[in-house]
Amino acid sequence: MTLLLLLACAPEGPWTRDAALGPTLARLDRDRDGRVVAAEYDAVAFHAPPFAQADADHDGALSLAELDHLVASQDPLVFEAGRREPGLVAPVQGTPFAVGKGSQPAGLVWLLLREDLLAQVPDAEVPTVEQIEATGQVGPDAPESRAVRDALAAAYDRAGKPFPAVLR
Amino acid sequence: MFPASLLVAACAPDIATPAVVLVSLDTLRADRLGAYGNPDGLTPNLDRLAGEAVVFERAYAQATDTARSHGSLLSSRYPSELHSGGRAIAYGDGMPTLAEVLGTYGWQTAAYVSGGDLAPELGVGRGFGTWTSVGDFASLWHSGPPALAWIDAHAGDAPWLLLVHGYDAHTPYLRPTPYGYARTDPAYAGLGHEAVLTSTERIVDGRLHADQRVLEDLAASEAHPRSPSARARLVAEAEAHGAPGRPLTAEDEAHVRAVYDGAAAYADTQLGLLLAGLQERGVLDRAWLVVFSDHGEALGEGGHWNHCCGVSDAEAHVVLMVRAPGGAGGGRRVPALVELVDVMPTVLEWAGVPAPTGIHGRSLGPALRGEPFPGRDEVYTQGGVGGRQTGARTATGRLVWEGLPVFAPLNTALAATAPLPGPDFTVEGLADADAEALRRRMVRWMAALTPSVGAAARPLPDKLRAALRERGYFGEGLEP
Repeated sequence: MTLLLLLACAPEGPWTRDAALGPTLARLDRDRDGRVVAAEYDAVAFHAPPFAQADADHDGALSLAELDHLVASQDPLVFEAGRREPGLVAPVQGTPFAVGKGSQPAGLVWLLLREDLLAQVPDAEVPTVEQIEATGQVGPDAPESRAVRDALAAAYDRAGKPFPAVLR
Repeated sequence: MFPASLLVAACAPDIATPAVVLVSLDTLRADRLGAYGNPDGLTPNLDRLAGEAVVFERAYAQATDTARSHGSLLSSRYPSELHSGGRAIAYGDGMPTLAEVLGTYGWQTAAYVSGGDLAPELGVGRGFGTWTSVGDFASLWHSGPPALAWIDAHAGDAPWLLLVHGYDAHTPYLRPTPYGYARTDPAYAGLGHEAVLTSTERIVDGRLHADQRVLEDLAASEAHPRSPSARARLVAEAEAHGAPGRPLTAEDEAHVRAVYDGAAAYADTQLGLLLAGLQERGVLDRAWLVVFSDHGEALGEGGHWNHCCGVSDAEAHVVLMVRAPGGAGGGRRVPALVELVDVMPTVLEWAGVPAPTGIHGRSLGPALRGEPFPGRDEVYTQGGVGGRQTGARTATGRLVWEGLPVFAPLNTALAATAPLPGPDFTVEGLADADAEALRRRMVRWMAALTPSVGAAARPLPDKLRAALRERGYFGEGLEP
């Protein structure tokens, strides 16, 4: 009887911050390879720190501690107030990504931003579609990708339109 | 195996100083939890908690707005008895609150709430030693840390009660990364996206209106746009004014629901983080924990969105889990109908304190001890300030009275004489004879309520009024 009682009373495990956040991290790991990489993060990121910042130790994957910091650092009321910031684009989630190749969806966000700007300023000098699509092969942190991003941001600046601060 | 009550007794730790933690997850629909049958894995922390707690599968809120629902829970009175004539709560002098009763017996009481309908000006917190609002329509992200700090500073030898509240699942739903877009359709791009990024409060009767102010202008004093009874008329008037709004497609609505699901997941994580803080302080070993939602949220059912005025399961069926100290006896499920007003006498039973006369709650203690617990034959929900619906929910059906605004004194007489079935009564899942019998019980229930004190509405601060208006609260009860 003692053993049965002990089993009945045994907790599943302590309530910890890691335990609370673990399921969220597991859900982010879309390909179930045990690592949440930039593409998986970018697939849901909105009005959030870029992956390079969230991945504080720069090992290319979001850890539980880094997720904890991310959740703890985002004030929901500040987020709510900022969700209407002009130019913010919802994440493009369905794009296939090659694990380890960085963030292709970020490139697609740039495509949407390009379209948005051309809709408002038809003669804006913006990166070509081919240039933006090429960033998907090298990841957002590659020099050529950063050049595309900077060119797009500069086009917004010249047009006097707000470029999302979180994407700069 | 052993009787459940024996297990509870055997597992319960020796508790020198009783403590109770109430956690309110505003606007969280019960059907979003795995513990309540949802298959989508939105709430792993709540589902884990269900294994350590007694889960009340069919708990119902007494009001579908935050102020009245919390007021009912904290006083074990029905919303009609707390009506101030405005948006605030008015507890009568003869209606002691849970905090007042416990305070009389030497308990320390504190609440860390997230403003809005629980801002101090609304009067819900009468009797609490500390009632701190951490910001209008804030989150457990805001209220959890100061609540834990209060435990560190104050939870000494005296028994204590702590309420922690957050609007994590409330409109506008979109929550910080990685929750906001975690469950949306990747290929979706449409009107629902605009609604989520601007204001889901603009959705009325399946249409996204260009400007909430259009609806405000159209809202007559007795008809809140969220009230099912007012929707059709308001939409017709909007069309007549050349501002009919844009109809949402099924895909648009699915997108909004998916973003709401992200908010439910966010609420779940914030609860898990709060529980980690309680565990770290040893509170989970010594305290009773009550986790509940104050109301649900209509997400298009019957064309209705948001909350405050309807009494359907989408708005009235709520989460209610009770975890004993140490998780003793957890994992049991109670299918009986219960009301949130039952929480107060339950807490008083734990405290060994007699319940005041006149309250409507019945202790959940027998259910927690695994004893026979039939629950209620029916549970009642009032549609809140600005609403017109009063609902009586049985195990199999529901009767909805939709006469005058819910707090109008003449409602009892009219409900007793109106034809059934008829334009003012909606019957769901009940045979005619059962509906008539339930009508008679509903009328007796209405007649037995102590009339509200009818105090003049308190003027609300401009900042609070603006925050409420931002989230679609306007019309009756919100005006100065």
